[in-house]
Amino acid sequence: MIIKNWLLDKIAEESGLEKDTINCDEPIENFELDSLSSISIAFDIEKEFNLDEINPTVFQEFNTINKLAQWIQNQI
Amino acid sequence: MDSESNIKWNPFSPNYSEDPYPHLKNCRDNNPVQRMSDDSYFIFDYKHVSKFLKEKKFKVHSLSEYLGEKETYIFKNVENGCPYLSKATELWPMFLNDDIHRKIRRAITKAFYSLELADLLNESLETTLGTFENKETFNLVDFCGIYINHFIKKALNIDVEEYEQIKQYSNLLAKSQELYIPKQVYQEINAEILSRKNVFKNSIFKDVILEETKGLNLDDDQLYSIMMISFMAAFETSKDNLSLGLYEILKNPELIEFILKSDTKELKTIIEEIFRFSTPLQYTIRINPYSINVGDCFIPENSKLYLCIASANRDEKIFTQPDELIPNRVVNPHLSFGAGAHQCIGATIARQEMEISLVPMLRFLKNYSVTDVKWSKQILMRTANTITVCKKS
Repeated sequence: MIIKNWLLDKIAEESGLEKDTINCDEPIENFELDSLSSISIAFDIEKEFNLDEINPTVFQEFNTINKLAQWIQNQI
Repeated sequence: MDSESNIKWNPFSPNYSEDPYPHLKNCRDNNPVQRMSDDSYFIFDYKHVSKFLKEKKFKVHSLSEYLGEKETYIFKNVENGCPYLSKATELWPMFLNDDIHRKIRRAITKAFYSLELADLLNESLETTLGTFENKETFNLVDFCGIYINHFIKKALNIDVEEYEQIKQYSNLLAKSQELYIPKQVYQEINAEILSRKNVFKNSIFKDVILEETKGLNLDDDQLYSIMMISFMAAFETSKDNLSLGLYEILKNPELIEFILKSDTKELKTIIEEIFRFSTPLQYTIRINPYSINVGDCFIPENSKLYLCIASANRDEKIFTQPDELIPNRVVNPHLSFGAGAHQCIGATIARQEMEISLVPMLRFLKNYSVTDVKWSKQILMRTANTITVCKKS
């Protein structure tokens, strides 16, 4: 839950959307983040959760906030 | 074509940083033209990479414009952010087209050839060998970096004392043109560039640049932009080429002996092979002003084409045993310096650096062996962070 909330905050900040309008089962690509912001979020995830270099393609594979939160949970 | 193959270029695939060449071969053999999700194209075979490098009507993309578009995002929520990335890269010639490209290119070329290169390089070599004398273990990347640093620092009169700082400055400049750079790193690059605005003191090099660009009425920022790229392009690629080449040679005692016994002509042949084998600049980008067909693949006009020089330089259609460093390789039309209008300005200097240093360095290094390597994750410019060498017992 902490991870999910952190991700929600991050994606709200990056996309400029209100947090309560973001659906955690919606594909992240719908939030119109460009490649630079995806990479920057990946960079923040690495730092926040102390992970090794993240392959930016995780956003394609784990393409919703819920899936991504679960993926991060499994890494730490 | 790309829809028919599962082989997709992925610089995050396992071991890519350690050795990108098996993955690049896979791409070249199975899917040599690939369309990416952002509608850019990657091209891996020698024939097309070479052709597009030389194509007169093809353009380069503008890094400065790209960074300009992204600055609002990069510096959002940054207190006292002073966006300078676009301005700093404004006159980097590899991202310029047409008349301004020709003018800046000519100025930098003239400035480099106004230097007493051989004297500077011999002095640098002597200093380097002296610095590392009697060391039991050291980082080969720094050994090469200090050689290039000593030369470039004098030539450009750079007011930075510590080698480590010069190395960091150069590396951050190189990162500004890399792929997959997050905004946090762009912010770091921006701060570094701003903090070093006054490091290029007066020099003959700078005078020649000013003289040659008189008609352009350059402001201080534009002059700084030219000085920065002259520095980074000279330092980063030379350091990488030399360290990657020496790393490969040190693994092979027969090769060391062959090089130590070589005459001038043989040495020149070996050096070209090291350029091919190392390929410090692994990719370069072009824009096609008209639509083209590459193999079965239609590429619409104004697409971003990533030309994979690293793959082209290992194409077995052109180079026999491409993954071997063959010191007497006769036919060697490598593309390590690019080709066409944007061919590397410093190619001659790079050759001279190698001709002066290779044999004396190997004479020194033959008593050492490589014990560890840590590769950088950079994609466009291949580099090692550390290559540890230890004195043989």
